[in-house]
Amino acid sequence: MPLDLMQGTLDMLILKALTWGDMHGYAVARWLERTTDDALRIEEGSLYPALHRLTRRGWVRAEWGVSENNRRARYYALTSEGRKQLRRETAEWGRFIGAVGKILRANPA
Amino acid sequence: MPWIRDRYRELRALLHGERPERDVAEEFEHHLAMRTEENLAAGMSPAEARAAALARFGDLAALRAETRRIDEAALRRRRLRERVNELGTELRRAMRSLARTPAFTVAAFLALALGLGATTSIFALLNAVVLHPLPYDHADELVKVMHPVPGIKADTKWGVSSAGFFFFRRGSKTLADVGAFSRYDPIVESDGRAELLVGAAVSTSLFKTLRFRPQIGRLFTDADDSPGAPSTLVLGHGYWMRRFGGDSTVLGKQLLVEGQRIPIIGVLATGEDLPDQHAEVWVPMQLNPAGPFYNSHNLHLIARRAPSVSIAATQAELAQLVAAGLPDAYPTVYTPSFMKGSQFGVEVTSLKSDVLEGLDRVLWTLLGSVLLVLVVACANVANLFLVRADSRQREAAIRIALGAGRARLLRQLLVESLLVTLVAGAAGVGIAMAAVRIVVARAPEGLPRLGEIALLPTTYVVAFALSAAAGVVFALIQSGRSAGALTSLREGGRGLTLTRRQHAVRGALVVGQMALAMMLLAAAGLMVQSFRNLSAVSPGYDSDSALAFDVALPGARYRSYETVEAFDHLLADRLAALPGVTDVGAATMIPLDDPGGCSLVFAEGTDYAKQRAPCVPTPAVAPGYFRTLRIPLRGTEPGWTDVEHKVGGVVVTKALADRLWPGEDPVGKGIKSNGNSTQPPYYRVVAVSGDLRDEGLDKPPLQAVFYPLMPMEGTMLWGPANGLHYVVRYAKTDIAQLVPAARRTIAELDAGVALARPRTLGSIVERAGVRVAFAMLLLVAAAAMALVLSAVGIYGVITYLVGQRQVEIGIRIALGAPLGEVVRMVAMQSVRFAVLGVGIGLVGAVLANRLLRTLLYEVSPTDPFTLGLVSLVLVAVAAGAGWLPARRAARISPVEAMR
Repeated sequence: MPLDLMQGTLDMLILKALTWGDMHGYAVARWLERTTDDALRIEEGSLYPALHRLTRRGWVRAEWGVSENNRRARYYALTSEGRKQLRRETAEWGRFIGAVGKILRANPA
Repeated sequence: MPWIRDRYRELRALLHGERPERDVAEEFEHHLAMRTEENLAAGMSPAEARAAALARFGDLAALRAETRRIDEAALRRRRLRERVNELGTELRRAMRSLARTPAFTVAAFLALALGLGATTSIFALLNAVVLHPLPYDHADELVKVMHPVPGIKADTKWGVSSAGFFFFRRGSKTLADVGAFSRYDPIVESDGRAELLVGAAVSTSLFKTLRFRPQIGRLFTDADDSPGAPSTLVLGHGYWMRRFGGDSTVLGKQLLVEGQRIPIIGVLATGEDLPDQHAEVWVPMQLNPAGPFYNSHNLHLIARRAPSVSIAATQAELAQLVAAGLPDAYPTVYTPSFMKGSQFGVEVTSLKSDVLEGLDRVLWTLLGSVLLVLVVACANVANLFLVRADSRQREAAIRIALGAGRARLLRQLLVESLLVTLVAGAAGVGIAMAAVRIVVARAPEGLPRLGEIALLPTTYVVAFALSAAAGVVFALIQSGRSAGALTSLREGGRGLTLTRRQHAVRGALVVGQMALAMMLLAAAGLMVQSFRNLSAVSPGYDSDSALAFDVALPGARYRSYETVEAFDHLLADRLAALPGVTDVGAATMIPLDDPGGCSLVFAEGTDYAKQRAPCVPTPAVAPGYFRTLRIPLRGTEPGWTDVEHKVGGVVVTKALADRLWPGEDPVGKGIKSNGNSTQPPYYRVVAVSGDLRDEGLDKPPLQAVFYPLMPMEGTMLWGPANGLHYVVRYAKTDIAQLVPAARRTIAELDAGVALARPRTLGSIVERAGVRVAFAMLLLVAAAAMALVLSAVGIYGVITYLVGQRQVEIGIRIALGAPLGEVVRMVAMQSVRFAVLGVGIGLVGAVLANRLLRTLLYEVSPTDPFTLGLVSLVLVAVAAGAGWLPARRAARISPVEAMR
């Protein structure tokens, strides 16, 4: 049963994926698939609006290049701004998880 | 071939910038292809593999659209940022460039700001005062009808008699409505306090003529206006708001007016008022069409012309009616001898020009000249920009040679000139706002709609559009000049020389501008002279430390001469006892305060069958008046006992004495105004006053007889003087405390008597000169502006000429010409322009200043002193403006110039 992604989470996952190096969109999709054992069955197409939005915000830089099978592909790279943003979001996410966890672990008084 | 294809794409991207649509499609296709390959590798059939890839991707079309929107937005934002950055760079460059030529920048800025500021403010003034001056429906149809009586007094116009009112109403076909009113200032009592209000007695038809609608209640009907009908009252909007706070329950309430309770039937809407004053209460006039009629012309007649009838046609018709019909219709009032002796005529003027009293002509003239000045200012600034473009030809040529595009050069020019014109435009609007505020503060009373003068939003838009258009034009002019720049570089950088014709155009521009400035300066100079002359004219009394106020006694309780005199005697004594008061006097007239009508006077021993008697003001005067006003007297002013013993002593002014008894001693002469003109008893002249001015400081001295408060036994006057103007002279006292003290004193004597319109004598005299002062203010401002503009113009042209003659001047200096000689040579050129301009301007000034004649006082339109002074100022300014470029010329290095 694939999990649904919360809004904004996809952005964070993409930034995380790009810490491994420059990737084109398909590579990001594959990385997410592999890393999560396909638990997050995201609609692959929805990666692209997210990637372009990240580009516009300056967290990601896009550049045309040639892919491993000799095709023209758009490569994305994390900018230093993007790295900072990822750190912020990761910390935020940690706090969120912690808070939710506390609630779920709480016993009826 | 993929390599070539990629290079082609890169090239295309480089050439055309980004193409979000294709890029997104390509990116998506890449993804799908990769996934399809993977699926194929997993053993799917090609069709299955593609379908699975698509399914996993999602809604292709929607995602494509969304991604493209994001890219396009990003692109737009980036482009905008680039533009803003470019503009910022461009602006900084333009500012640096303008700062390098500060004289040019300041001159262009000043010329434009002043030109725009002046045009805008004069237009605002004209728009409020002249174009929409009267708050009436179709006000252009309204006319005022008056009777000139050249046989009695030149330049005097009488109002209309009640006979005339009925006659015009009945007989005229060119007038659709005819209304009449007269001033009626009643005492209104409420809450135990009496107040003298400004009011109007009107015919019912006046409301119809002016098309008034009531705010609440109703207006007068013919039933209200018929003789003997019960009295009714309509309130003005301002009084209703002030006194009743806009309470609509006032309808039907009664107001105690002159001791009589009168019901309020209606309230006028806001803005509905007499043409040049605020009426607080309105009553019906109740004229009787059956008479009796008198030769008394105290009605103001306002009429509405029938649609599509000209004023000239109305004038012709009324003139015909007066000449042919009036004496026949009212033979006892308009006797043949009166018609002949007074040369009784009729004059129809538009109500608007009647109210404006010639100020509209001044304003139109001013707008015309200021517009001309604005055009010249623009021509000047264009000229300055050209001079600048010429001096920068080398720069432009080098830029072009180095590959700067024409478009880029034009953009730079645009930014530069727009920077100057838009900032100047903003400053011009600022100037206009300040100017309008000053003008409103200084304008004469009674100018309609002055409170409404404001800069309309359209004014801002027009000012902005004008500045922007000017900026574009200036840039285009310069750009046209730079086009020849490359040629000039090839020719060795000597610069382009102008054709003879272009020289002539520039010269004409400067000379024309000097002429214009000369005319405005001359007009302003004459106005200043007039104003000085006028200020030097004495009104004939001492206006310092004296307070005037009106005291009106209700006619219902003060019916007889005796009761009125007794009250005034008592009041005068009580006022004189107030601390700080040195003298008290009263009369029905204070010269210059409120010029009024006239009555006939007959001198003893003159046969008035053969000659017409003079018609002069005949005020009633209480003792102490001449002493209080410090009017010099030859003879003795009558005292209270003389009045109470009905001795019948009168004071005449010197001007009247000179007219009636030239070369004789007037004291002891007999004079009368009522009853049989050749029979005694006569009043006796006991004193002659010095010259007094009444109708204006610029008018001839007043001719008047001051009659006592009570008539001599066996004679008639005009009834008891219920409304006296009191004058109190004070020393070492606070004027602000004097008014309440006087008010208390009056209330102690009779709570139903009001003190009204307290004012200083100084303010009365000041007001007499205010129209001239106002016209002077406007003209001086316009002239100062023209002066600055002509300085700018001369400066621009001389600078240009110096640039043209650079090589020549360089040679002269190289050959040993003294520097002083070079400066003189250049400055003289500017003086030559100025002298030519001043000469033409003088002719124009003499021709045009006839327009000012009515406003001038004891100054000839060709006053040599004023014109001479103004010419000198102008030439001096021109020499000064030529001085800067002249000094620059002297600094020309011969080596630099001839290289």
